[in-house]
Amino acid sequence: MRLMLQTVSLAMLVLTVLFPMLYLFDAMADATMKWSLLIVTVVWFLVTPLWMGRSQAP
Amino acid sequence: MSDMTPDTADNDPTAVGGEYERQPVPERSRLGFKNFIGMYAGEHTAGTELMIGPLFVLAGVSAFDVVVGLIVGNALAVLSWMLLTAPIGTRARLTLYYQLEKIAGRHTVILYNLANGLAFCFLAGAMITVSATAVGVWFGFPLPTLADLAPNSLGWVLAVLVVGAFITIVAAYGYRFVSWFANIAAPWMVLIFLGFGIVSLKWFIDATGTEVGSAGDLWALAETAIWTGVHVPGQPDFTLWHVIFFAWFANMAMHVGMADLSVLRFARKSWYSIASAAGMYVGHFMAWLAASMLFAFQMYQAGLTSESAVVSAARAGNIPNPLPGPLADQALGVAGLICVIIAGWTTANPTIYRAGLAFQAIVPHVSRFRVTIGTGLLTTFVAMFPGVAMQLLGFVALYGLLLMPIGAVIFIDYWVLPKLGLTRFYAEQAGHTLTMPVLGAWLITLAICLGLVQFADIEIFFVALPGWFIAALLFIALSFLAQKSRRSHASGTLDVTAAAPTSATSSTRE
Repeated sequence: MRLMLQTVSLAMLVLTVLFPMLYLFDAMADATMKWSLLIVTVVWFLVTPLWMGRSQAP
Repeated sequence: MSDMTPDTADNDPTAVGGEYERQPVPERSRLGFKNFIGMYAGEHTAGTELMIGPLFVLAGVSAFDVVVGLIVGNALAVLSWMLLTAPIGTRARLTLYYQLEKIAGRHTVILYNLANGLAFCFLAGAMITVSATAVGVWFGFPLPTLADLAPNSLGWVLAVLVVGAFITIVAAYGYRFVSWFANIAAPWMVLIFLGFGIVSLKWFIDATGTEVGSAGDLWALAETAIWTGVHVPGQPDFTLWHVIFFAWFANMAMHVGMADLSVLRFARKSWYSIASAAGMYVGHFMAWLAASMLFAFQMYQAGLTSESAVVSAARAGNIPNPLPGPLADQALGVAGLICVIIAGWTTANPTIYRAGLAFQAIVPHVSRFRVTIGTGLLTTFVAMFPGVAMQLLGFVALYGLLLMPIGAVIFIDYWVLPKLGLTRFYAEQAGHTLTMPVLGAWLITLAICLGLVQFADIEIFFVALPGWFIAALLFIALSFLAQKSRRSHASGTLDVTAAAPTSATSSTRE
């Protein structure tokens, strides 16, 4: 489970860079890039707290 | 910095407050290299980076100046951590506060806390200002302009109040939550900053019609369109030297000023301080360049790429405003706005918390909760004045300068005084709560440095380097005087003491 969550988080980090790169190379429209990044952001903040720094969680 | 507190400390009855505040960090609680990489990379990618990048553009940096200047300046900063801070941190393994108390006495630490706490309030205020610009994008009230020093609308005041109150309450109640959340946000935030750079590069390529087929093409674009070297009147006029010194001293309080003794005392090896490069080259290179590119495009779009155009626009009050919220929104939409808010929030929070701790040391009878609330209110008030964030380059330099002499004192006390036959940790040995050598070195150095700025036209970015040597020499000279006078007084007392029984004896005999 932990490994799966970590994989999802890692994928979100890759996508955070990938979408602007696709926009840079004209492979993605501005609005699509912005929406995609918002989704990536939401997934990152939903998934990452489930495994990162759990021992330090309040 | 609390991130660096090892878990074991909480269970150690000998560790005061769980952070070994008044004892060297023991072997078992020392940390590995990876801890320092994460800590430095996260801590130096903050809300203020989004202000500093645009301010570089307003200061008229050229492509060569900003790229080479940041590479060199950040390398000097890393070397300062490695050569000045870490060797003492990993030998003495004490907090800055305890080491300073031993050298200069408890009352000097209180003065240091006051200066540090006030500086933290201004820094955190700038971070709240940054977050509030993102709120302004959503609610559509008039945001401050470059020329605004005071609040310019009721909406702005309310936005700052809401953001400031939220941050203050969280700092007072739930610092652990923010620390945890900041760790989670850090990797994503760093890449969002990178995204700002990538997207603004695309804007420049499209707007200029440049075909980028090589690094040379990219460099030509950077020189002719992004960092054109055109300076905006009323802003600092930056050269290569300004960028080098600014990057070197942006965290002067931490390395030359020795505040990071409190962090690096946990490092197993002195060389772990090279991890500061992660913070410098992610936060103070990539993030500053990315943020400056976002704003540079606003200047380019407005046709402000020549001296004459910028001067005319400045006269007409038409210079674009370097506001992180609208810039981030334009580049990455809501994700960019979230980044601005989180970057401001997660860095303002520990800053308010630390300022609260600094002030609480001055009024220990008042609870930390109340002091933090008071500190947060002061910070929120500061944040209402956008002039602080708009003048951040100068403020950052002043902040470093203010605390730098204490770093020189600690360095000289540790390495030089024993070689000169003088006593290390003089206040502890003499039982003083305030020592003239430290107070004199600190205040006289500041007076000389500020005098040089005021009357000799030396810019504030450059006075800290000679200031360090002035502080070091003053501390050595004043230590000689103080310790020599104490020795002669002590030997005089000994003479009297030695003589007294004789007199008494002779008197008795008589």
